[in-house]
Amino acid sequence: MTRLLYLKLNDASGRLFSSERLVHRDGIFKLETFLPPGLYSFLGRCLTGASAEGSFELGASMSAKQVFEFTLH
Amino acid sequence: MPQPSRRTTAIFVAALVLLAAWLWVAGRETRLSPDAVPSGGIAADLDLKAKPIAEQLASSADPAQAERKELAPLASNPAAPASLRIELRYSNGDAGVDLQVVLKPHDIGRHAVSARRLRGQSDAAGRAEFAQLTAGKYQLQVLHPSQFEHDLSLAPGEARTLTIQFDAGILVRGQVLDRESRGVAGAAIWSLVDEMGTSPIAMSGPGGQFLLRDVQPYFGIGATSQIHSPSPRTWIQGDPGDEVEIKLILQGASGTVRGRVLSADSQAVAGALVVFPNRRLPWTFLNGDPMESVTQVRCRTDAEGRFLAEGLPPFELTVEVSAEGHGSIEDKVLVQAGRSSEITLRLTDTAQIHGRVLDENGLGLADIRVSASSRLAGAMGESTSDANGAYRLADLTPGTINLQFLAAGKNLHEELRVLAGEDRLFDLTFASGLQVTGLLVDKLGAPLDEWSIAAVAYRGGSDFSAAETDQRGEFRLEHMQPGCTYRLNISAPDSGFPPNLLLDGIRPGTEPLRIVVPDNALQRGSIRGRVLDAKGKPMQGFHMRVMHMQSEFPCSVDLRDDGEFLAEDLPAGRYWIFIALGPQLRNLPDVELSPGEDVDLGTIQAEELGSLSLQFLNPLGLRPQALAIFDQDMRWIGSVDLLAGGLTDYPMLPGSHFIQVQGEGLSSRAAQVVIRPGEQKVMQLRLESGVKTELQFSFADPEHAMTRSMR
Repeated sequence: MTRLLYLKLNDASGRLFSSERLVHRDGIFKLETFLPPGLYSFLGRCLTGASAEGSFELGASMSAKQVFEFTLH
Repeated sequence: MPQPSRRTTAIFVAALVLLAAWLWVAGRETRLSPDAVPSGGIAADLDLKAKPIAEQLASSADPAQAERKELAPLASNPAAPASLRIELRYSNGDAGVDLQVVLKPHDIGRHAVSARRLRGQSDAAGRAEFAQLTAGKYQLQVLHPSQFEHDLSLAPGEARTLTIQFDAGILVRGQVLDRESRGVAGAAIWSLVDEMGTSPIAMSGPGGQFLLRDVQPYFGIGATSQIHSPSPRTWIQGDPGDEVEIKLILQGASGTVRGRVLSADSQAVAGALVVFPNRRLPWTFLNGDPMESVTQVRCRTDAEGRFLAEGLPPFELTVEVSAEGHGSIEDKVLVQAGRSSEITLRLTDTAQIHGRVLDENGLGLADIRVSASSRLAGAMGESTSDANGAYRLADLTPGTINLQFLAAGKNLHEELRVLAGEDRLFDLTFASGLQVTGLLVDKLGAPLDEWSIAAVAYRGGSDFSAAETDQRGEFRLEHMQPGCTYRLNISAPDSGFPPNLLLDGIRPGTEPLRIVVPDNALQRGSIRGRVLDAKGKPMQGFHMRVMHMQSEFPCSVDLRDDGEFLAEDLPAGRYWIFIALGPQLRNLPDVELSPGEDVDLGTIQAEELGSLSLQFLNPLGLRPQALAIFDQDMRWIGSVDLLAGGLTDYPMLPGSHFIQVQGEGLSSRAAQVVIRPGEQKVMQLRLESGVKTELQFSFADPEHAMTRSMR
């Protein structure tokens, strides 16, 4: 069972935007934050050692409810 | 197969307590309310170690007491009123003058609004008296920085005298100032413990001066006034016996709200509690739970249901209203600087829920605890089913109500939408549900008797089931829900939590389990150490937390006055250890404990704290609401409200930190700050805008592989 996910979110120039310890509900970790448009990368690691990294681009015209989904392996 | 025994029930209750403790710790970790540390943990610890109570029955040598005794009817008359005299003393023996004392009947909730909550104020001799009391249990609170609380039980006709001497603490010489550094007289000084109700702990005098005696380290205070917005929070630092000076800076112009509270049938409601909690938006750390500012403005309605709330920050604020016998409500009101807003708040009628708790054959189940709660009203009441399985819950705030049904081996939640005035019928059938059966053996295949197995659902619900192995090592977990995935916490007889063994990914309805317990699962170890402050003296006012990371169970820690701590009876595994120092946490390196190992962490010396003040460059007029603080490894260590848009002298652990200003529409970009021991750092930050973004992560769980390997 993994309840905790450690997550770091940086922008393209490496500036830190989020460093979180998320607790899941029914296996889903949610992060709500405020980001300027731009390129972002994230790194997640859970207690079992499973980790994931990826990137996404947030456009200026994206809706406030934009949801990104990733899978940890 | 074994039948549920008394011991199984005890295990179930213990596990629930531990689960609640875990949720509490997890909540502290994720909820990041900075005041949660001094208001919860430290208060409890101070009560335990202080016990500054010399409790005596009234002496006949005291004429006043003798008279009361003489007048009092015989104790055998259950209706005979009791009385209570409280004598308040500071640690040096001086009388505790003009202190507010609250006496609350034990049967009303901690936050409940009730006319039965009695208030008094100590006189020039430090005495406060309550007469004509109904016999029964009470909780006593003294509105003083010792956060004194005491439970007592009064017998019919009893005349009790209770002498309370506060622990030695810090002498605080404070001053309330406006932004132009002018002293503000008549400002209210509030404890950051919101349970302290609608009475401040002190008022500022001429020049804004105020004095607090016997303040415990890391006690948090804030100030409000009629014409300024509330001050940022300040935490009192020092050791007992120290004398410190602090300044509380009130912020910009405030507004007022005049209002009236009416019942559902438009009658004035007197004594209603009106709270402007300045509730913030939910933030990531909170998992959707809103944080609450503690420097909140509270007041009560007069006989005509009117109230006047002054010193409110000029934002759109939430207002919450509650009163005994009515359903609570919340509303929004726009507060404008220098102006008065008007609002009429109409409470709702209460609702009721009643019904029966039944077994699969339709027979009533007795002694099932049923409790009701909601987001707005919190815990609203509890009932126990009678011999026919019937229960009733009254005086409920209508809306979405969470019902919890609790019995040994079973814990069910139901959510009901109930309207004002409604008396909802709701019957619940405790179906036996699915089962998990199995056999517990040692590595030689010998059965293990009297082991406890507690199954906790971690996916698909919040279900719980417990059982105990019999002489053949067999167990049966009942009432398990289809679709849920469970973890089994497996504990040896007389062994505490964390459990000896964990087994993940269990789904009910599968074939019987055969669980082999390895020899080393029985070996328990310990973690010990000593914490000293920057001066090398035993640290005051802190808490140690030791958590078994695999099971996420918090471990009990024996913490002594000399700073030594010991957590024992620990299974092997990785442990997360941290020190809670007032509003901040200091993580210690994780400990990997081998089976039966005793680890001595030696002496841990805390650093001298620095402080941080923030000034914002805010051309876009954004509203900063909270500051999250991370250590250099990006681990969250604390957070603080920015209610009035600033931060002054916030105590900081030395080192390299990242800070993140949070607020609606604010970019969450973090900034690095280095604090040296004793340094009073002032930073300017430019606030930038950001787009609200929701990221969602799911993961592939390796639980199936783990399950197979354990069978």
